[in-house]
Amino acid sequence: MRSLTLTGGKMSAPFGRSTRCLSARSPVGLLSQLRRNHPVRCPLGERRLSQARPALYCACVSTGGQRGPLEGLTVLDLTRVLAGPFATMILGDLGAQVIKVERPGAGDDTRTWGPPFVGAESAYFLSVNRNKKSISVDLKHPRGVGVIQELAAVCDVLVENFLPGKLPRLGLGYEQLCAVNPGLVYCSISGYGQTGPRAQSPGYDSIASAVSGMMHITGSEDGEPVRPGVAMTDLATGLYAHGAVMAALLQRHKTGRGVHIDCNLLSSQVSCLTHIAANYLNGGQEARRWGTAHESIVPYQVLKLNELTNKPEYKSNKLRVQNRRELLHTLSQRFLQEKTADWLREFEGSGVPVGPINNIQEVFSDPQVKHNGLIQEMEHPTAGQITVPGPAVRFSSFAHDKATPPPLIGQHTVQVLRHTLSYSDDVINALLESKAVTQNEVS
Amino acid sequence: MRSLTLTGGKMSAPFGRSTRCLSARSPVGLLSQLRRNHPVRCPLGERRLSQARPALYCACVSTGGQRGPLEGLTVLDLTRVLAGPFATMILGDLGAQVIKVERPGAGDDTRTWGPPFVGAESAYFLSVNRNKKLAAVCDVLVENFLPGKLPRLGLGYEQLCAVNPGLVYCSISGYGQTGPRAQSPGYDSIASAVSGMMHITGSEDGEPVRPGVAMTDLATGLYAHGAVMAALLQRHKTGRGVHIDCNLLSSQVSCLTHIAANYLNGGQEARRWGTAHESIVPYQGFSTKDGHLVVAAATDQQFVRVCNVLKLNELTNKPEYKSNKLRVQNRRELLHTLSQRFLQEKTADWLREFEGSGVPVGPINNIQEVFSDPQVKHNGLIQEMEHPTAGQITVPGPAVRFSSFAHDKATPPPLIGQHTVQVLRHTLSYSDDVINALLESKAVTQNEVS
Repeated sequence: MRSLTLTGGKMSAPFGRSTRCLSARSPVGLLSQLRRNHPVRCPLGERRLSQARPALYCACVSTGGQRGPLEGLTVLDLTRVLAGPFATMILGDLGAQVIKVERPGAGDDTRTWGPPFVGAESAYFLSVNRNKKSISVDLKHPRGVGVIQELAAVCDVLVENFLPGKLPRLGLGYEQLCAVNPGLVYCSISGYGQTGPRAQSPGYDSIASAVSGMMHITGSEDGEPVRPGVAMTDLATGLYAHGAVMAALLQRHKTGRGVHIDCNLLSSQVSCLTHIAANYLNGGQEARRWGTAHESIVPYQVLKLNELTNKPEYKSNKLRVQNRRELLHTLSQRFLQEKTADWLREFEGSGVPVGPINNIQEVFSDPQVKHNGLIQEMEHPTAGQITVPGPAVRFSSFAHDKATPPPLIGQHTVQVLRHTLSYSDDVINALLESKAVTQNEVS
Repeated sequence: MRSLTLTGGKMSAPFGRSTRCLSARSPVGLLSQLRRNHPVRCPLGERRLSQARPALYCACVSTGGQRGPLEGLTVLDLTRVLAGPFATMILGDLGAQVIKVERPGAGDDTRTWGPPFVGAESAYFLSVNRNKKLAAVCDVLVENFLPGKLPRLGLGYEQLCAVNPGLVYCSISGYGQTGPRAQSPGYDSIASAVSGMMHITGSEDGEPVRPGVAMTDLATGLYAHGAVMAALLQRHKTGRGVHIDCNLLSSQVSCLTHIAANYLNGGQEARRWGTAHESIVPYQGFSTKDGHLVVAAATDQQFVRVCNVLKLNELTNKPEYKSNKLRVQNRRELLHTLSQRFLQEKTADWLREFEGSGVPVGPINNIQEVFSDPQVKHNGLIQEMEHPTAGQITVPGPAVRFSSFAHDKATPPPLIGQHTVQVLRHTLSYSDDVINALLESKAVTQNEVS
């Protein structure tokens, strides 16, 4: 990526989806110096935000209507890989402006995780990074750290997934940043937690899945443990995190203060053990693998095997669980006799939940999947048309029709420095030349 | 459960964790009749809420401090089984008051995990009016009925938001509120199959399997808890609630992330990989002399360190293993070499050897090993409580910690109908006469234990 220098005149690229001109919670003193010569223009609705109202959201987003719930909020995203980016992507889906900070050069690790690639972009990266802006900042460079500190002063939320202690050593820890921005919601995502005997272990889904018991309980009855086919531990953590961030924002309405949140892979997955955990913690019952089956429920279906309904040993679920081997053998033999599509037709209207084990092509051919908007197409500046799995949750109050594609690395560095921090062109040029920050050719 | 009749005098059982005396958003007219003779006492801080301030939260919860973020909010929980209850449990962990509505008799399916698919719903229908009045005074309603069921009972979003425009109404279903499969009953197992999750889970040469716990249900519950809070945030700006559509299918398909993107963009079908990763090598479990170990070497430097620990340094010089891309291409041979080496030592010895190497490794723990882990204990994941009839119970604790409050006010899972009278009295301000009439008609039931 070449280092770009600005010529005169502003770049006229639109600012993108939601605009977060000023933090609601930053001390006036710090910001007024930045804003003195640059009254901030809010592109949405083209209103000019008065310098005298630093504590208010940009007025044009307060009218509700078709805007997402998090419109007007800014998230500073220092996360990489999956759990963190998944969380911030959902916040972006809900309308927040997400500023993704990437180190110059490689950026987020997953940019290179392929094949497959779409153009130069890995499908992996594309799948969890929509609705974000990318700025490329070198945290080893003191001026790069300075940029992040200033962004943290004007953002609502910071999400990070560094090893505990790393960011504080750079001057970007919670204590340091909330001194400048007391309303900052600071969400840390780690492998095992911010404190404790394993806090310094690097955290990966595969390991956390193993350590937390998830692998032990997944796999065929007589087979080896396996992982869930997608990193559910990472994803569960991201889901916990996105909720926790909003809980903290709700609390901020009452208290005016932010909070430090501790999310980690181990805790997320162990909490998700639910009844598996309770069986052990209360009854000492160790878990085992069940393949596709469920330990405590044995199905009963209408398979033209009505004689089974009269057998006393199958009368209740408890009895069916006890006599499962024989019952399941009988049922399995019967199922083998017909094709899946025929069985599905026979079960329609019976009130019994049944479904095919779909491969991925079958998933995305399913009419309900299409109806739910789970195939989201977008135009990417270099890769062309890309398709990603759409947002899971729908709200009656807005549509997910303002999605922006996953950014190129450093695509929005200058834009963010100019609009969010109100830096002058001179300052921006100096930063670019010092390599504390970099700007992609494409903006 | 016997039908209890109230004698004179109030029950003095404490109200429980967070107190949410009145809804913040109910029209004055509807509530004033309920409250006229019963100025509500808020046990927390013992302040009396004035009848003239129906639109405000109970004053004593507005001071922040050690309270959870959702203190002061009330959730009406009409969900059963897993996805819904999991979501509302997390809201409860965050300080919300959660009122779980169960039908008399069996209650939530999972209390016995029996049938029915054809349920004895009629008794539940009798309690519909109580639910309506509760919905008028709550902030959030969460339900997981088949789409259309609650509207037929007069408890649909359109109907309830007419009375309580600020109501956040979260529907959880199998496939969505509309569309060709909307009327299909939804269960984790099925959704896991239909959404592709099972297809991608299992050993390389084996059959598809389910994740060992209902991750589709749980992911849906997690999406739901976040969506509810997003809607509450929006309500601060707009004053209005919203209808939220969460469903198992969408949650799991969204969670397919890169698996989906590989297909949608490159037509690449997914397959099962056991413990391995399609795009990263070595990133998987290995059998050891006495068990299994998982190694996650995601970068080139980590691969080098793996080779160091295994005393297989010659591998770091092989050009075909230099980058992750190359290791993926040449995975079979490389993994064979590594597998053979791992078999030679015990799990505990390998873990010791890898300490300090910077390579993420871990044992495949069974459940006993999980709950013996010092970090698990440190994170507060073993939550003990006193249950009124079961005695001491232990459950997995909340996953997320906040610097602003501790999870030290947890209450145990309730007995069925344990708080019926309490809620009628405190949340709806019903008089004893009204409550007695309801109990006698069996429209509601109260557990012996309160």
